[in-house]
Amino acid sequence: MNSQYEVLNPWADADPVPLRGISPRPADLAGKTIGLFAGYKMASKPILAEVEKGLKERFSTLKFSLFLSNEHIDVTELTNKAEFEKWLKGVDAVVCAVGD
Amino acid sequence: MSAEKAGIPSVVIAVKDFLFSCKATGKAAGLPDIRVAVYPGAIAIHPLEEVEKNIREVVFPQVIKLLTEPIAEAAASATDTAANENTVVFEGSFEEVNDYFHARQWTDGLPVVPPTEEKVAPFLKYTDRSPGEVLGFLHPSLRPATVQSIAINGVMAGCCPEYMPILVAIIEAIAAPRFRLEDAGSSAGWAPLIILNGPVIKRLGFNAGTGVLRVGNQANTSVGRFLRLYMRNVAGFIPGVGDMATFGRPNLPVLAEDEDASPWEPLSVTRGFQHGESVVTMNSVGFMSFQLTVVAQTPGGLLESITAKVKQNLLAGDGSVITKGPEVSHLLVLSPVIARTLASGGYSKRDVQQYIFKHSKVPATVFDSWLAFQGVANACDCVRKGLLPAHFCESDDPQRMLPLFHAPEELQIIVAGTAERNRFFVAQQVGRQGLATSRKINLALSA
Repeated sequence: MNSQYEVLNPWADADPVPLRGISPRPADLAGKTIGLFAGYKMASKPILAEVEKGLKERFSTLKFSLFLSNEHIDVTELTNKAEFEKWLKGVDAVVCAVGD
Repeated sequence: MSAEKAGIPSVVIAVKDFLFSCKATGKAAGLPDIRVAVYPGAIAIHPLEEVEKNIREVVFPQVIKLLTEPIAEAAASATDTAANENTVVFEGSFEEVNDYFHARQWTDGLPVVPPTEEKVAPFLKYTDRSPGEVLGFLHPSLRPATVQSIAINGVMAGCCPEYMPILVAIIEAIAAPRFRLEDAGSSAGWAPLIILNGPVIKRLGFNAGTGVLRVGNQANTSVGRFLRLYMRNVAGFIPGVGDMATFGRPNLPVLAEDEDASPWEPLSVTRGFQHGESVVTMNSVGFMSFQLTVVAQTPGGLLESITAKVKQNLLAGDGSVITKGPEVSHLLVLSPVIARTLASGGYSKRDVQQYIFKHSKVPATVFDSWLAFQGVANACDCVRKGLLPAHFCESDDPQRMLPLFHAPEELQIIVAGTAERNRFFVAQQVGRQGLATSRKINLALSA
């Protein structure tokens, strides 16, 4: 059992897509349109309702736009992907909830 | 992530246990610094007042901060250009290699065969694919599923080189969009089952008889192990990171059909392949019944008894899977003697499917309790939302009888196990997650 083994990697140990940073943040949210993305699971709507309520109390000039998904969260596979993309163009920031 | 890629600041709300999973998914999609606001605890069992309090006091401040806090200089990480699968990553003894692999979570917890170039090369002789060919990009890691990595993980699992065409067909099947591999790490913790048909069963020594799903026979066991290693190493299903199975299930060996003992056409032929072709079918298993005894003096009585137990077990699992996708692919695995007895009574496989479909119905009210979890009122509401076909709402009578699957053929019948034992089992599939997906095995280069 003194054999030596030169072993290969079981997976390509490199990131499959180039990494990038997240989008620049605004200094504050005043006057922005907040997109609320709710997944199909039950808790997503009450979570976002409470987030919306809190944001309204803090920033009276905020607008909100809700997108409801009855499907899996992977938006690249949504049957209403075009509708989602149109919705995305109309918001300044997004809060996403998919909870059970 | 789509929002961030479009240049729109975003935040995801997740429960604490899913934080690492969110981060891993973000990294796989190229966004390692995706921002996640953490909800404390299991939201589904919190009263509404507690949910509101937690959102207000714990989540809401995080949402504001994560949407407005400037990005740190180091946030946009550089692409990792570390070693690829053709690189020798380590040199050492058997024990040292295994220690190295364990430390990197490249094993299933058991010792692996060290994947050296000398061990991998014979596997590649059994496929006409080039080692670098990519069969797909597997969720959640989105790493490329290459032929080379299939051979490497096959070596590690203890497979023989001759199994390579089967391993390739398995990965082709799970990489297909229909299979939705990305859901294999969901809380439901389902196991992917490999079903094998065709001449390859005998040629390569797969067990289709007694103890077909027991570990021990090299072919059934090592090919099943290969799949779990591949899902872990290449797809990224590591518990707590890419794999969020609440409990998980033990790894399953290959279920080979006993085609010689069956009075009917094999599953692969039912699914559209030719007699004599070797085929892999991948299917999720969320629930597996007891290995049930059935006793009756006539073929009709036998079928009636099987039907009652199929119904009982589909209800004991999660019946709501019927509303979670356009089809399901449950499994009814019969011992040869049961299949032959039914056939002797004149029942074709199709007859059995139709009988069970027709006689395992439940009142529509049963659906209501399942649907509350999804925020849907009843089966008719499901039809309106496109979650069930129209025949589930032919009236609004709450006592009307509804089937437990969409169509008879969704109960796939397989013959395996002890030849003369009167037992069967039901395996419940998980709706749109892991739908039956078949691929032909290319044995052109096999001896």
